[in-house]
Amino acid sequence: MQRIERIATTQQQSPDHLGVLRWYLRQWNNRLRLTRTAIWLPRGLLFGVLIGLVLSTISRLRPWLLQEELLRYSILSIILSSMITLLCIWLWPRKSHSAALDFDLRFGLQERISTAFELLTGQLNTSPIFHTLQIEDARIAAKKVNPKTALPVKFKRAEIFLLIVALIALFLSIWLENPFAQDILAQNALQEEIAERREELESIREQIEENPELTEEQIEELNQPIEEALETLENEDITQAEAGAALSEAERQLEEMSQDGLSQEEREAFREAGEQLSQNPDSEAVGESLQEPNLSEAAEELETLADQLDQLSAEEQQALADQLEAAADALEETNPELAQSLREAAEALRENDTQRAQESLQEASDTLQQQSAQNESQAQAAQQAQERIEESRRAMSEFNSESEAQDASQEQQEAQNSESQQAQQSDQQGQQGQEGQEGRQGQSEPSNQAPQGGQEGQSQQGEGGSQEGQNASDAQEAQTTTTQGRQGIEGEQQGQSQQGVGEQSGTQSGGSGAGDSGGSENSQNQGNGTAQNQPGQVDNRPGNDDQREYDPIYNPTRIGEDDTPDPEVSLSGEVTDDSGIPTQETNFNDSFEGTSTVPYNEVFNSYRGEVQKALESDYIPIGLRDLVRAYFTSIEPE
Amino acid sequence: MSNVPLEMSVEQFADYAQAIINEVHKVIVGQNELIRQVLICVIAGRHALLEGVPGLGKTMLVRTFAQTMNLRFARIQFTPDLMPADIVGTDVLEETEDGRKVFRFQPGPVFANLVLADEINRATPKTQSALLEAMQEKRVTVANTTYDLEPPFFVLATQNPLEMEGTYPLPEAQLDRFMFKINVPFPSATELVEIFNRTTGIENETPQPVVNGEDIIAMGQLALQVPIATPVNQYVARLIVATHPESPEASPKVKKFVRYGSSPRGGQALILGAKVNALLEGRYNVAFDDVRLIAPAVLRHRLLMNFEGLAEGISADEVIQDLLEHVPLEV
Repeated sequence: MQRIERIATTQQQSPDHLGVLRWYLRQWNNRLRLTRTAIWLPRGLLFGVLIGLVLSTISRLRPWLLQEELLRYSILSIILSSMITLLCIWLWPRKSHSAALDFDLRFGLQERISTAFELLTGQLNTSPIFHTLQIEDARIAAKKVNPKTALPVKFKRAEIFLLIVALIALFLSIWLENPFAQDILAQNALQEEIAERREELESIREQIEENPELTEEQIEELNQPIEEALETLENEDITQAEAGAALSEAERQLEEMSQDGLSQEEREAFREAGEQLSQNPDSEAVGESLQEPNLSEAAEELETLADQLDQLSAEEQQALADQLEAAADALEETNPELAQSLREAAEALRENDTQRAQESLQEASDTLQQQSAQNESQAQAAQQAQERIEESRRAMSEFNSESEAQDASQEQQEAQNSESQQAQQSDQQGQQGQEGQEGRQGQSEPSNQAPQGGQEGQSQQGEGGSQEGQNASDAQEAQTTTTQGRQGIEGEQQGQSQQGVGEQSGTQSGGSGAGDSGGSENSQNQGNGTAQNQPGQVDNRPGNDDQREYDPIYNPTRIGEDDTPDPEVSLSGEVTDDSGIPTQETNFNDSFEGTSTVPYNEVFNSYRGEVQKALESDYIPIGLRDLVRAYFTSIEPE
Repeated sequence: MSNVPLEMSVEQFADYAQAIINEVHKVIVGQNELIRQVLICVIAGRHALLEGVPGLGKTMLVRTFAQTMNLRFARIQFTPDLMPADIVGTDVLEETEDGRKVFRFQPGPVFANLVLADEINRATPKTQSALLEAMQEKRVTVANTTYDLEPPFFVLATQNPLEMEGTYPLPEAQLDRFMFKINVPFPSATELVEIFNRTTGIENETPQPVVNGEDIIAMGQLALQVPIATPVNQYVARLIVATHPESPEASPKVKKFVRYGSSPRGGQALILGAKVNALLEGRYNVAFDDVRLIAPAVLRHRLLMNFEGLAEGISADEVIQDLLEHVPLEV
């Protein structure tokens, strides 16, 4: 008040009446904004609290926000709405003229202030004495105004009460446990895990692109599976299984490339060309190398062949020309340069131009060497990428196991409590079931089975999925189906031997899982299987806490433990039709050898995919799903 | 008119006004608002139409004002046989000393400072219109000769709202020349007692002149200098526009019951009256309240009611009240 007096005194002496008037207006404006703050700030807070309540309600109706996020967003909305309210109140511009008129009306100043303001700003004219009198009159009137009494700061009790109720409701809605909390945590963890996997894939892709030894085509070819996996992983609705499947698929494709750097078509073309050349004794070595395919060795053999051309008779040269021509035809589409060289060599041999034939063969050898070098780089890069993706996939699998183990423990607890009887039945069925390739070691002689193609024995190795809690016949059928594609026929083996690593579960076993054991239902275990682990024998009886712990009963890595360089497993067997007559599901030509070798780590992903489908189809009881899942995690190839 | 020393005049304005009111109150009991509105008209130099039943002291009021302000007063009793010449005057034939006969203008009662047109609606329109030129131009033309009226010149007319038989309602053009139409209210019982005491006793107070014509003119000049803020000016304009039923700002009652609204002269009267009122309030600026206070007196004779309004007996004051409630002070 003393300040007002001082300013008023000053303005009487100085002509800065406008400044004084503006000072009054500022004071009143601040007071007015304070009163508005008292009214609107609770409303702003209420708005923010209501937003928090809406978020909380939605989060309780569907998996969306965690408690911490809800708390964070609620506080944020409250702060934001309050800030916006305060900013609107305190920073909203007000023109002096309208403010003057507003305060004239609020304080009952009879338009003294607005008239004085217009007089001082030159918008209004009157006689000088009236000018002075009016402004003085306005100043005195303004001085009499007590803004604290004229503009009291009042809170609306009803709104404050409403705000408190809303705050309590918000607090309770955040504090009380959200039924979707576990789901949200799992979702978030999955998203983070997938994001990490995505980053890893990006890194792999960059590594491939920065590899100077690779051509554009090779980079594109190597990146294709990674791009596909990335595309799958970028889908926001992706599940754990889909993510794992995408990584597995990329890993599989890269693994194929890492073997020899050849595509399936190229490999097939080389094999066909090799077969053609193998029919001629002179080019047999080249043919065998191409069939493998071992391109560097084939190149060396071609050089050797070129050197030996002089020693061949005319007839032999003509025969060799035919074989070279046939090989060129086989390679025409996949390797036109090599095919051209071989064709030129064939033509030269037909024309008895040995020297030109040698040059052409030498050229073909160079082409093969060059391609071998390129393929080696690609294979190396593919292997590196495959190894990194494999690590990613394992990390994903570990994540799956951890997260699902938590879920499973809860589900199992519920299942044990509410479905104990059913669980016991499942346990019995599981004991009677078969565990695929880990079934047993032993011999079984199908009564309707005859040796095929000079084979004197059979070597069976069953691999396949296990079914627990299913009846024996279902398990056996599944095993038969899955193992049919994996059986190998190896004619050189003598005697009958069935090798299996696994266990015997129950007194009756429903077959070993080998596709050719048509009579496996009646088979008896005669081998010395190391029945040390029994995943099928899950004791679900109450009080047994060790029921989930078991060791892998079949470790594929053991196949190669005896320093066998090739981890592939050779299988022999026969395919029988329904009547038991041995059949062969391939073309029976002269060159058919009936050998099939499939690396374990290559087929594992397909099996795992099938298991995942089965798990998702609700075909396997809930209480046993984690067991199946854990089993397949345990037998993942290293 | 010479400039009046303003600072003094402002104080004198209040003194004079208060003195006039005090003197009038020596004769007139109560009727504060009536006296105030008449004073506003007098200071503004405009004319007023007083409407009230007989015996309320309308004529006494006007006569007292004239005495208080030391003005020449003329009273014209309007009757159906009153002729225009009876108001403005006429040329009469006179014989000079040398025996010649000449026409000499004999001024009528309009040649006064304060003219009381008593029961103005009883004269014919022709006679009523004789006042038109005097009221607006403040001059009179008789036989092609124009005579200026001496300032100040005011016409305070009265009319009786009850005895409508044999009356001639004032034409709109003439009504518009009255700044205010002032309703003379019936006095309260207390006031009546005082009136009886004053008028039936032996002591009769006589009002003394406290101002003269020049003072009244000076007061009017001073009132013109009162500043009016733009928002108030705009409010007056919105108010006038809103009296017209075709206007978007018109209030519901205006749209329903009014045939034609106020002329711009009504707006001028509003501002002028508000300025005088502000000074009477001791303020040096016009406020919304000044406008709202005098709005009924300014507008009630300027609103022409339509058939529906007349049929339903809607008074102009009701419409004006509705108007004041609907037209916002700020836009």
